[in-house]
Amino acid sequence: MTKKRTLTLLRCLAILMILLLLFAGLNRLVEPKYMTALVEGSMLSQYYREAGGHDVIFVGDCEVYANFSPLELYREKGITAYVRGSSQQLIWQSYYVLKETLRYETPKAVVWNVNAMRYGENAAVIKESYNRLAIDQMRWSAEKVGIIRASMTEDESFLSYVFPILRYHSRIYDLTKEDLTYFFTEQDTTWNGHLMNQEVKPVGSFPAKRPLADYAFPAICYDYLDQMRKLCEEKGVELILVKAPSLYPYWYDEYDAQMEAYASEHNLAFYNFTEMVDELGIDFTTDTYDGGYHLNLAGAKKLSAYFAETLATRHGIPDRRNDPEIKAVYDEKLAQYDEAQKG
Amino acid sequence: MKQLLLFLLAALLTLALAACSPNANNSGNPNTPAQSDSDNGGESNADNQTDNTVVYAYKIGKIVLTPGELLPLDQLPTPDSVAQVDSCAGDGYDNFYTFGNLEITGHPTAEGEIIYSIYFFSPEVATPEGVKPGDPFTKAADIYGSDYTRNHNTVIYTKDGVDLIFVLTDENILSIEYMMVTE
Repeated sequence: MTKKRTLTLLRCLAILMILLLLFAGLNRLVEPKYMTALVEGSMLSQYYREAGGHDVIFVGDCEVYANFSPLELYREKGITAYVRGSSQQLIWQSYYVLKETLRYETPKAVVWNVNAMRYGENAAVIKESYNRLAIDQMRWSAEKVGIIRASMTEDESFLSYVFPILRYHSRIYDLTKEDLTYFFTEQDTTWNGHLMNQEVKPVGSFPAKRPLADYAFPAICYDYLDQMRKLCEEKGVELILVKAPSLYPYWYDEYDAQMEAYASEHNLAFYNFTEMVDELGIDFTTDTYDGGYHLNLAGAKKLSAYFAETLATRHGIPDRRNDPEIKAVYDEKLAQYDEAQKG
Repeated sequence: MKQLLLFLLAALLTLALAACSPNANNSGNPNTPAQSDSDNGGESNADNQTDNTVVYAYKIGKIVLTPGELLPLDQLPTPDSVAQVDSCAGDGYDNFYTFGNLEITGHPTAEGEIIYSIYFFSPEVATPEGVKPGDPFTKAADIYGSDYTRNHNTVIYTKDGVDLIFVLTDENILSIEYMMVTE
């Protein structure tokens, strides 16, 4: 190849690289950053900076990331944990999030909130907005491909997840300071995945408890629960089922019976915290930030303290405070966490 | 090589300027409007007998409540209770007003609070045509006709932007709901 042709080739390659970088930059510019508004959209991705070294991984919806505080688990019993939660996380999303997490680490236990068992493939809560909050910021992997395919609504396209500009192109007219500030960086908005909220909104009224024609959980939910269970078995991880203590949506007795039966059949622990409110010491006039749907920090502390004891005594989750490296990291985290509570 | 580069540039630009999918929210806001709660899958009765005089609306005295229209709260009695249901990520909220055995869901919009649904499951409440929870579904079918869709135990009549939904158990009506049809 002549020198001239070589230079031409290099020039073309350089131009191509520049074009690709510009295109990639444009995609990054218009996609929501979820750093100040809708911070729930960056929760799953914050895990990547702290992946590894957790004895307990929580997976699930807002009942998980609001109600359980890993730093309280550490404070109480030296338990290292992380919450991989997202808004309205459906069970197929939990499966892929779990699968992805198990590529990064092998905890001793995975805790999954069973509230999502009620939502099958035709559930009204399935919306692109929730899909985007869970998926947009995930790192590309086989699990991300899987979660997209499992979650996409009819109106969504796979390509729009690959190239965000296809979905968010009109945001070019609505860019905010956040889009520039967090173009290259990301900040932590959670505490090991726990979204802290110290507001107080006492419990009020709820919609009528509607009788259902059919209380059976959808088959697809059992399928994915089986897959999560088997995934944990393959990795030697204990799967623990919980129902967080939220007052609404109603957790019917018929739902609870199904989960009790499943847990019994597969020798799994299942803790229904909705029935343990008094034992937990939760007061829904002070311990909730939205009238009983989710616990605030005060409520999360009570639940986490109780669960820390359970994890330590019944499930053998070790106390890591004797490890100087872990202690140093978590002492610093706790100091910042406690400072943040002062407002 | 130059032609290849030009082609690639054109392809990238085309990709960048490609329209969103047909029903996407072009404001770029990931909080798209709620999908319809109606499950329109399942069997659809081919016999199109309907009673065209029936309007899918509920009445409290002389006040007509139609899903999709503004909620005339000032004309209604004081509700027994009001519940506000938020989503996980602040994706709007609905107000649930309880009037005895009747529950009306209001959804705030720019134009005001509209009626999203009217729901009851007590046999003490009936539709304007006299169908109430506890009745056999055949009574409803005699009045509302056979132009409905059915998915397991949920029967849906749709007319003029309103779903009239019967949830059944053992072919008897368990609950009745008028719901706004959403896109």
